Amino acid sequence: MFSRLFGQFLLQEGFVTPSALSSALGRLGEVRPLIGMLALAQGYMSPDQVVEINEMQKRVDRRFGELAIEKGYLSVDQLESIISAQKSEHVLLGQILVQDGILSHDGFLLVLEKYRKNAGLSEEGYEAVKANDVEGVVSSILVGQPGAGKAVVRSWATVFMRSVIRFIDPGAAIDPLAEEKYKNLRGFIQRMKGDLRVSVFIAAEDEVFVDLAQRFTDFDIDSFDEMASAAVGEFLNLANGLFTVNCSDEGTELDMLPQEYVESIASLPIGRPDALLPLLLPKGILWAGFCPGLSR
Amino acid sequence: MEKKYTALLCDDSAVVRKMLRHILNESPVGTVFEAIDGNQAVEMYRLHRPDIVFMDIVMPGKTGIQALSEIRAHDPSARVIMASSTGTSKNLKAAIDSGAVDFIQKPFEREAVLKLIRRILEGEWE
Repeated sequence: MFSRLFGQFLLQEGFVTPSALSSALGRLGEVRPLIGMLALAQGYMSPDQVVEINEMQKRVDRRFGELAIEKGYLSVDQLESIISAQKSEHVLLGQILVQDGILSHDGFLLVLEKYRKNAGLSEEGYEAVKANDVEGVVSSILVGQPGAGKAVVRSWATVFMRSVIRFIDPGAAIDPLAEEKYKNLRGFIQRMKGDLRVSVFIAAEDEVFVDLAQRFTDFDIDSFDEMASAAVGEFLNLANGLFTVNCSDEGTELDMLPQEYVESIASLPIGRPDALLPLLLPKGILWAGFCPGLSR
Repeated sequence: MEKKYTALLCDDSAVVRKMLRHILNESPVGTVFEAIDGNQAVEMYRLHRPDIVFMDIVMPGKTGIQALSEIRAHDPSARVIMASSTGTSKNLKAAIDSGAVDFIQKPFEREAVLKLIRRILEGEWE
């Protein structure tokens, strides 16, 4: 998911004041998602229908879902899909703002539509991501790797590959036949702590890093100098930032530590990574690894 | 365009500072100061009192949130925008509670940054 966080969007567009947003964010863990808000966000019900059912509930002691089905606004299948859907932080935030009277149901829907349109993904990048079955490709490369069964590993691998496609090369691919020779290469590592302790590294030949730096920044970079190093480190930071936002949406909070440059991946005290991605870029392979622990 | 404002860019990455400088070239900001960590940001703020600050969160030593708190303690009217790749709810809340005027997620979108500058420095809403 490449969307800017919904709260940032609300603030930047002037829909909420900083204090109202802070108050709502502070209560995210205390509220249960309401069926009406989820139905609205999914596009199953209109704001008027949600308001109508809410009004009915003031008169009769019955559940939202029952009444909506009876009125023909929701099907049983739709209700089941809403109930089984994963927690969605932006809907919860919208719900609190509606309850606080800061947004109306109509307003929430309008804001949500604008948010989706402004998700920060360029058309080119979006098409590239859509055209590539990233999750399918990532799942296939993870088969047989230690972290294949872990949701967090799949999530990282998917976000990382999407970041490469979006920011570096729309034609990036996984090379399943790449010979595993990353340990003596230079690279960068970034540690993350919080609900989990994990490290992510990238490693490549210099010409791969230089090309990556140039593509990422659009600056003239022709050798592995300070600017190239800063660009590659920042790309790792960016991909990991998107991963932490994804994790946060799923209820796992991670804090990133500053990324570090290493002359050789072999110098890091890491064992076999939970996941290792050989990403084929125009100048060669970019290795990306996800390791349990802080590797210190 | 009159280049009448000053800005402080605080990020440990030289490439991020350069990217922001390029964007600011198209804004009414004429003088740009740079800091590479939170400590330097607090010092530079005290020295130059810039009109606007872009502050990274994840940096070696003092974090951007700590630097923000110190700058706001020194000058409660400081206009600091947190600029980070890790826009989680937790970070967003910490930034707002520490007095940030806004929060932008990296990578920077040129138009979004320029719009934000116009809004914060000149009170223009679109």
